Amino acid sequence: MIYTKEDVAPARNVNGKDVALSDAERDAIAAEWSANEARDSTMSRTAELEKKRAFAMMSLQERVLAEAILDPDAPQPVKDYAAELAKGSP
Amino acid sequence: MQPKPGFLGFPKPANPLLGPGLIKLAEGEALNVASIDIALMAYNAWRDKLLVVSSLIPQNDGASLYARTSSDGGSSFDAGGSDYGYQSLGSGATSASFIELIPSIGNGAGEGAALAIELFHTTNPAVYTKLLARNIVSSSTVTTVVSIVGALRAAAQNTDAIRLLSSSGNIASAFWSLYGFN
Repeated sequence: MIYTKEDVAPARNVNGKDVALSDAERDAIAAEWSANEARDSTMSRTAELEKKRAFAMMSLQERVLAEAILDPDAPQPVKDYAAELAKGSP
Repeated sequence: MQPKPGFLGFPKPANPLLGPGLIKLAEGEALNVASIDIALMAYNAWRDKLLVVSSLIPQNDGASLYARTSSDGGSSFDAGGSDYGYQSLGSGATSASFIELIPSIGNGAGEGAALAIELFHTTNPAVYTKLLARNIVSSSTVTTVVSIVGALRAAAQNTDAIRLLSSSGNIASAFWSLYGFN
C-alpha cells in the first residue's frame, strides 16, 4: 500500500500531549510506512519462495512426510504413509 | 553527610523523592497519533528507567511496533540504517534504522500489546544505551505471544528521549507510565 499524508494522524503524542505535525513531517512518515510495507512484503515473498524451493528439492518420501506434518487435514492414506516413513519402514 | 558521587564523580543531585524502589516520573495517554515521544532529560537523577506501555493498539492490523532514541531531547530521533541493533529469540538485526519491539500486533476485539521497557544508564554518554523489552501480545483467539527483546543504540551517547511508532499506520491508542529506579 502507498500511504499519503492524509493517512497520517495530524499529531504526535509528546510527553502526553498532542503536538501537530507539519505537512512535510506527515509526508515523510507516509513515505516511511510505504517503504516498510514494501520491505516486509518482499521479505514474506522471499521466505515463501525459500519454502517452495526447499520443498521442490525433497524426495517423494520427504514430501509426503512434510505434507502430513504441515497439513493436519491431509488425506488419511497420506498420514498413514507418513507414519510408516517416520518409523523408517515405508 | 556528603552526597553519594554520581556519574563521573559529580555529586548526585539532592532529591527528596529518592528512596528505594520505583518512582513514577510521568504518564500519558495517546489516541490516534503518529508516534509517542517521551523526553527523559528531566529525569537525569534516575540512572535507569522503566517505561510501561499498556493496551497498545495499532491502527493497522499486524503492524510492528518500533522504537527509536534521541540524544537532543526529542528534537530529532536517530534513524540511520545502522543506528540500532536488536535481538529476540529467533530474529534480530545488527544494523537497523529502528528497534523492532514487537513484530506483529493485531487490532481486533480484545487484541493489542503490553510491554515493559527497561532503559539502562541513559545518562551515560560513554556507553551504548541498552534496553530490554518484555512484551506480550494477545489475540482474539486467546492465544498469547510473549517475547523479550534486547537492543542498543549503536553509538556512545546519552539518550534523553524515546519514540514508539508503528511500522505502518498510526497508533490507535496506548497508555504509558515512566518510572525511575532508585
